[in-house]
Parts: sequence; structure tokens; C-alpha cells
Amino acid sequence: MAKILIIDDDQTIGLMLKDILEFSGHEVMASMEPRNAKENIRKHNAELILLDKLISGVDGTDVCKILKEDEEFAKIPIIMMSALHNAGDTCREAGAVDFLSKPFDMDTLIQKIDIILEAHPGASK
Amino acid sequence: MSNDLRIAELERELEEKRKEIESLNVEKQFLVQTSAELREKIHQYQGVVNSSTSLIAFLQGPDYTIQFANPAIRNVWGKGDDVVGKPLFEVIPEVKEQGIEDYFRQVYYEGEAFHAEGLPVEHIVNGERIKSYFDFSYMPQKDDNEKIYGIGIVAQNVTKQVLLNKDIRRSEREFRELINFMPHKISMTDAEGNPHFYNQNWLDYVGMSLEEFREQSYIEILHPDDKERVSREVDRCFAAVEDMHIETRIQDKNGDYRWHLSKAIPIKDIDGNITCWISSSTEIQQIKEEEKRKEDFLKLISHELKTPVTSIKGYVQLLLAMISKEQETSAEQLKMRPYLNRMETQIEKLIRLIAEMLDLSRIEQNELELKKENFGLNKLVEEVVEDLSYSNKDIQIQLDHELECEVNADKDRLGQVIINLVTNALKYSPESNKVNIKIYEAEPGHVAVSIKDFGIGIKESELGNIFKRFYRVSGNKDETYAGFGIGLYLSNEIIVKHEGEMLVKSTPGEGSEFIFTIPLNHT
Repeated sequence: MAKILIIDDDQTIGLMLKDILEFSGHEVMASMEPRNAKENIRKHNAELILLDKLISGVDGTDVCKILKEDEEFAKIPIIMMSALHNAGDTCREAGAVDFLSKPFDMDTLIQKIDIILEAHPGASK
Repeated sequence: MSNDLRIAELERELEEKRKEIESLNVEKQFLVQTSAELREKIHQYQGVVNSSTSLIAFLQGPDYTIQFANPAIRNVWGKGDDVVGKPLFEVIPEVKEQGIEDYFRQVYYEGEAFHAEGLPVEHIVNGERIKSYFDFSYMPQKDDNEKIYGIGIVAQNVTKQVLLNKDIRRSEREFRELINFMPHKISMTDAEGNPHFYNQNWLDYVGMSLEEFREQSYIEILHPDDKERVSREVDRCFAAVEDMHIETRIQDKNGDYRWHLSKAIPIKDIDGNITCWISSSTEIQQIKEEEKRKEDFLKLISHELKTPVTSIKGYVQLLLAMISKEQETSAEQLKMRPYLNRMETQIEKLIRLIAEMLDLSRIEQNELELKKENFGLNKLVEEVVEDLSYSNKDIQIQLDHELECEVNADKDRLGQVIINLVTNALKYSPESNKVNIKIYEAEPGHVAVSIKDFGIGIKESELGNIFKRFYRVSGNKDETYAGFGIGLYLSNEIIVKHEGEMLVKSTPGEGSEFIFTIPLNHT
């Protein structure tokens, strides 16, 4: 079980993801503000990040790049999400380890997270 | 003088006379012969002149007395055959005022021949005024001393040609006005493509005169992004002698680009040689803008719809997972499971509709891109059938793999086509749940997938429309067949993008068979 940070400006999506992931046993923090991403990662001690591609005017891929360029956060795996089904390539180019197109299956989400966590043990350490 | 001398002199005289008579006889004989020949020649010429359709007459003296008039000219005058010996203007007084006398005077007194083409003259024939047109030659007739004694007239009645020319000119003028009045931009080029005509609308649009615009190439005023594409298409159509049909942005006099639909067709003569090309360009800027707004709106609402659907789907799946996980599931909770399952099915349907809407706007904006890969077609069909059978336990799908094959195609898109065709087959089969799928070789190098149902079928009158956007087959129970009418349109577009073909066969009351063919993977 891991500490997960969700960054999505849509509160219902954020809450839904939080509920699902908490049900699966993870410790979750949902944030709507991409500008405080670093602060929230530190605060929550996040081991995995779910990041929306388009968050209130900010391009999620830029947030992803900034985190990947920062030594402190570079190792934390980021899964990006988008309602654009063909945004996967740009997200992966920005450094995301995986991509989910909305709407997605709960099973797919949980599976992906499990696989990634297994591949990145103790990412935040 | 002796008698002998006198006799000798007389004899010499006699001899001279005899010689004289002899030479006169020769001369007479020559004259007789010549005059016979002359008579024959005159006879011949008269025959020619009298039977000629040219109007011929000779006038003599200052009052222009008719010396000769052939039947053709007498017929035009319309005053009978008894005209010789009468002054011309007594026979046809009506032409005197029409300026003819002035021409005569010029010929008769100045000795200048007069020629005219298409000259209008009015005659009175049987009391009726008739306007005719003539080509004229009036020539001075001179005697041996170069003194003018009369006028020769040779004329042609060209009324028919003149009236025909007038008709052609009027028709040409009317068409020119029509072409200038049209809201379209019309132009004509010669067989080699050099422009020689632009209608007023064109000239107004580009703000140039005909001469200026002719000097400029049509390609020069196109949007920089369109130049190469249009240029290539123009060359292709010219080489293949094919109709051209292309959308392009054309610069107006203010430097703004506006969308046009340009068409061109070759015009051929009876031998099939191209004589010219006619082109028309219609402004479609407004249509383009509205299309774009519509597509953008479609994109926006489908994105906006995705967010709430994502969260509903998540919660339904969470609830289902919670029921499964609960060790001691209560009876009430167990009852909830089918309800939640039904919700999930409906959400999936909603998601598919949203995806179709998005795909539609992508196709309209030419943004539908294929991600091709090599894969086994049989396995894809099997997977789709498995998925569909999983969510709908009642259906019976019979799968016949006549050909095992690999294709180079977009797997997701092709899967989408098969799902669409199978769900359609089931949707339009309210009394049956049977669908037959067959994979077989269509033609060398192509694989065909046939999806056959035993449903309501499609009327022949509707077969031509089913691949159109938003078209929905009407049934007896319309409410049974929900949907946007996008599915088949999308499927067809996807197959066409794969360089394939979609066919349909149907008998109302017995069922339909949809067949698509795509190229096999050659690599």
C-alpha cells in the first residue's frame, strides 16, 4: 500500500479517485492545485502521483517535466490522465510512466498502480 | 499607149482585185466563225449570269436605265420581269432615299468602285416592306475612250447570315451578362490552361482588370499552405483530362483569404479535342466557419460529458467492488448487484456514444489518424465476440474462420468497426439473437469479414443512405433503435481509410449482411 497524490482540478474526479484508491488500501491526498505540487508531495510524502493533463489552464505535461527535472522528485512515478484518448504519447514524452484515458475502468487503474509500485519500490525515499 | 500595154495593165489590176477578193473571203470566213464563237460564248455567259444566285444588273446613263437584270436581282426587286429599259429608281423608288443614289453618283461621276458588306436595304414586295442585307459591288462601266456610260451591279443577299450573326451576338451578350450576374467566380482558359476570361465577380473579388488578372497566375493568389496541393491537383487533372474539384483559400483584394470550392471541366469539340476549360469558384467561407464552430462545439461537449461519466463509472465500479469484498453480504446488497450491472452497461453505451461524437468531429476535420500495426485478424474478431458475449449472455454468435490471416491496420479502429456491426446486427434483430460471422478471402490480397443477422433487414430504398451521417433505418417500432446514426458512417470511413470497402446486402424481413474487405498484410 502506498501514499498517492492526485492532482486534478475537477473535484468529483479527484474525490472519486480518492475513494477508489482508499478502498484499495492506499493513503490518498487529492489536490486541485498544480502550482503547489512540490509542497503537497513533501507534505504527503507521496510515492506515486496521478496527474491530469489539463488542470485549470495549466498543462499537466509541464508540471510533469518540472517534477522529473527536480532531483528530489524525479524518481516518483507519475501516471497522467486525460479525456483526450490520443494524448498518451505526449504524456510519456514528458516523463509520465503511464497514461490513462478518461473514462477508465477501476480495475485497470488499480492494476496499473500495483504494477508501477512494484517496479518503483520506495520511490519517495 | 498601145492596146497591149492597156491590156497588161488591166490584167494586173484584175489580178490585184482577185487577190483582194480572196483575202476578203478569208476575212469574211474568219468573221463568220468568230461571230459564231462569240454568240456561243455570250450564250454561255448569259446562262451563267441568269442562273447565278448573285444579283447582277447593268445600268446605263445618268438616269440609271436598266440595261440588264438577271432573274436573281429581279426577284429581290419584286417588281416583275419587265424592267429592262426603265430607270432603276422608277422600278424601285423605295431605295432611292436609302442612300443608294449617293453611292451611284459616286461611281457614275467619280469613277470610283463602291463596295459594302451587310448593307441593310428595304424593298416593297407585294405591298409589304421587307428588310434585307446585302454585300454590294458597284463598278463603273467605261467605253473604249474611258468614258463612263453606266454602272455594273454585283450583289449577294446575306440576310440569313446577318440575322444568324445577330442572334449569335445577342445570345453571347445574354450569356455574358448571365455569367457576370452569377455569384460564382467563372473563368475560361484555352486548352493549355492560359486564362482568357474572368467574369465580373472574379475581377471585383481580386480588384484587378481583366488584363491585369490575365497576367497573374491563379496559383499566386492562393493561401501559401494550399499552393502546392492545388498546383498538383491542377496538373493531375490537366494531364488526365479529368474534372477538377478542390477546396482552397483564395486571396481577395484586401489581402484576406476566403475558402472557395473550385471546379473545372474540360470542353471538347466533336472530335474529342479539348478546346477550353471552364472553371467556377464558389465562396464557402461561411460554411467552413460554421462547420468549424459545429466541430469545436462537438469536441467541447464530448469532453465536458466525459468528466461526469468518468466519475459515475468510477463510483458504480467501486460499489460493485465493495459488494464483492464484503464478507457477509446482506440480501439487500445482493439485490443491488444486477442494478449496478445494468447501470454499468448503460454507462458503457453512453461512453461509446460520446466517443462516436468525438470521432465524427475528427473525421470532419480530417484528424482521424490510423495507428497501424501487424496483428492477426481472427484473434481480434474472437476477442470482440468474447467481450460482446460477456456483457450479453443471450446472444449466439457463430464464428467461421475460413481464412487465417494477418493484417496491417489500426487494431482499435477495426475492433470498433466489428463491435459496431455486431451490435447493429443485434439491435436490428428484435426477434432473433443469432449472428453469423465469417472471415474469408475476398479477392487475391484482400480479406473479407461478413456479419450476417436474421433481423428486420433494410428496404432497398434505404440501402443507399445507410452509410450517410445521422441516417437511421426506420423500423415499425422506431423507439427500439436508439442511436445517433453515426456508427455505420464512422465504420465506413474507417474501412475506407484502410483502403478497404464496405458492402451491404439485405432482404427486408429476412436480415442483413454487412461485409467489409481490407488488404492483407504483405510484409
